[in-house]
Amino acid sequence: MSHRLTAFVTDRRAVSSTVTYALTVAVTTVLVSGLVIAAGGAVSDQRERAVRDELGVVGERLAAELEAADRLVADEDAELRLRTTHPDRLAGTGYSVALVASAPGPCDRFPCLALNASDPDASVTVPLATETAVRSTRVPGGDVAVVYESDNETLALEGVA
Amino acid sequence: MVSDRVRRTASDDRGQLLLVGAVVLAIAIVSLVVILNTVLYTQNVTNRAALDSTADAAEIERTVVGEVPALVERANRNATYGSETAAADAVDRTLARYGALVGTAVTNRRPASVGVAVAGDPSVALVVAHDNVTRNFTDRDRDPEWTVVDGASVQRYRLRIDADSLASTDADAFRMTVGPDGDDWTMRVHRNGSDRVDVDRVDGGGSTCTVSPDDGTVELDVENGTADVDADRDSVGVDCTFAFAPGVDPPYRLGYANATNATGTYRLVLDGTSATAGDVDTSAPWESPYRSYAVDALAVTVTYATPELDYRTTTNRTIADP
Repeated sequence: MSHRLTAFVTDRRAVSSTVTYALTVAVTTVLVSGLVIAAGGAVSDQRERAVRDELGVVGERLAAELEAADRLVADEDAELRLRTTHPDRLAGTGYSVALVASAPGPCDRFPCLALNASDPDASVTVPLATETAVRSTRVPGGDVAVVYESDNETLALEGVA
Repeated sequence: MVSDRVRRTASDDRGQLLLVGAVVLAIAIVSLVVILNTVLYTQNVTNRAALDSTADAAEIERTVVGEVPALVERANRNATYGSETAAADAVDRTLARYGALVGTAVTNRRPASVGVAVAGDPSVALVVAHDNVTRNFTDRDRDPEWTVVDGASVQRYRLRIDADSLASTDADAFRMTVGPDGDDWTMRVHRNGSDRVDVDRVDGGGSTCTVSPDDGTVELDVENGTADVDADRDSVGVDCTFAFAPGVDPPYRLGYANATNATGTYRLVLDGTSATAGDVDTSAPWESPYRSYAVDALAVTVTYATPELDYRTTTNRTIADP
C-alpha cells in the first residue's frame, strides 16, 4: 500500500501537459487583457483628441463666419442673418457653442467663442477680432445662425432648428 | 467513443479567449479608424457656402455702391426735370433697372437674389443750366443783366466759356456778381490780348488770374475756385485758385452782367430747392437757360439673399457732380 502511495506521489507523467496548458491559458489571458486595455485606452485618448481637434476646427470656421458677417455690417445700417453649417456631433458627442462678449469667461481675450463637449470633457476657445460688438449667447452645436441685431448693433448666435 | 468527443469539445474551448480578444481588438481598431476619419472629414470636407456668400455679398455691395453715383449723375443729366419728384423718380427707375441687371448677372453664377433701390426720399437740388453753345449767357428774354438765382447757396458751379466771345475790356467784361442784395463779390472774365483770358475777382483786395485756353475755351470751376491754366504760359506768381465769394454768407443773390459777351455752357447746382431761379425756361422744350432738378444725395439699399445669407444694407451716397 505504502509502495503504491509512494509511486503515485513521485509519479511525474502527464504533469508537463497540464502545466503547459495552464501556462498557455494564463499567458494568453494576460496578453489579450493587456492588448484590450491598451486598445481601449488608445480609443478613449484618440476620441478625446478628436473631439478637441474638431471643436477647434468648428470654432475657427465659426469665427471666420462671424468675422465675415462683421465685415459686412461694420459701420453700416444693415440687417444680416447668416446660416452656417456645422456637424451636430463631434466623434459621437454633442457640444455647445458660446459667444462670450466680455469677462468673466473662459477666454484670454474677448470677445471669443467657447466650444464645450461633455463626454469626453473637452473645451476650446477661439478669440474674435470684430469691429461690431457681440452679445453673449450660447447655442447647441450644429447649424448655427449669425445674426446682426440692428436695434442694439450687436452680433449674436442663434440655433437653427 | 463518447468520452473522446467530450474531451475534444472541452479542449476546443481553449480558442475562445483568443477569438474574443481578436474581436475586441478588431472593434477597437475600427473605432480608431472611424474616429480619425471624423477628424479628417471635419477638417477637409468643410462647407464654405456661408463664407462664399458673405464674400460675394461684399463684392456686390462694393460694386453697387461704387457705381451708383455715376448712374445718378447720368440720370440727372439725361433729361430735364420739371419738379423734384420727377428727378427723384428718374433716379429711382434708373437704380431699379440697374439692380435688375446686376441681379441677372449674379444669378447666372450662383443662386442669389440681388436688389438695389433708393431708400426713402433722395436729396434734390435746384439746377440752373445753359447748354446751348451758340447762345450767350443772357436770360430767356435776352436781358444781359439779370438775376440767375436768388436766396441761393451754391453747391457746384461750372462754366465753359468760348474765349472768342469775351470782351477785350474790363468795362464790357462778362460779370458774375454774388451778394445778399448786390455785388459783394464779383468775377470778371475778359480777353487779355489775342490768346489769353483774365479772370478778375473783386472782393476788396481783388486779384487776377490769367489763363491761356489751349482749345479756345475757358473752364471755370467757380465753387471750387479753379480756372484752367496752361502752366507754361501762366503769369508768374498769379494765383489761379481762389475762394468763391469769401465773406458772403448764404443765402445770396447770384447774377450776370454783360452776359452778351459770354457764350458757352454753365451748370449751377444749388443746395436744396428753396432758391428762386431768374427768368429761365421751366418747362418743355427746355430752351437754354433752363431750370431743372438733380438728385445730389441719396440712401441706397442693397439686398442680397442666398440659401445661407440674408443681407440688407443701406448706404448714404453723396453725388460729387450732380
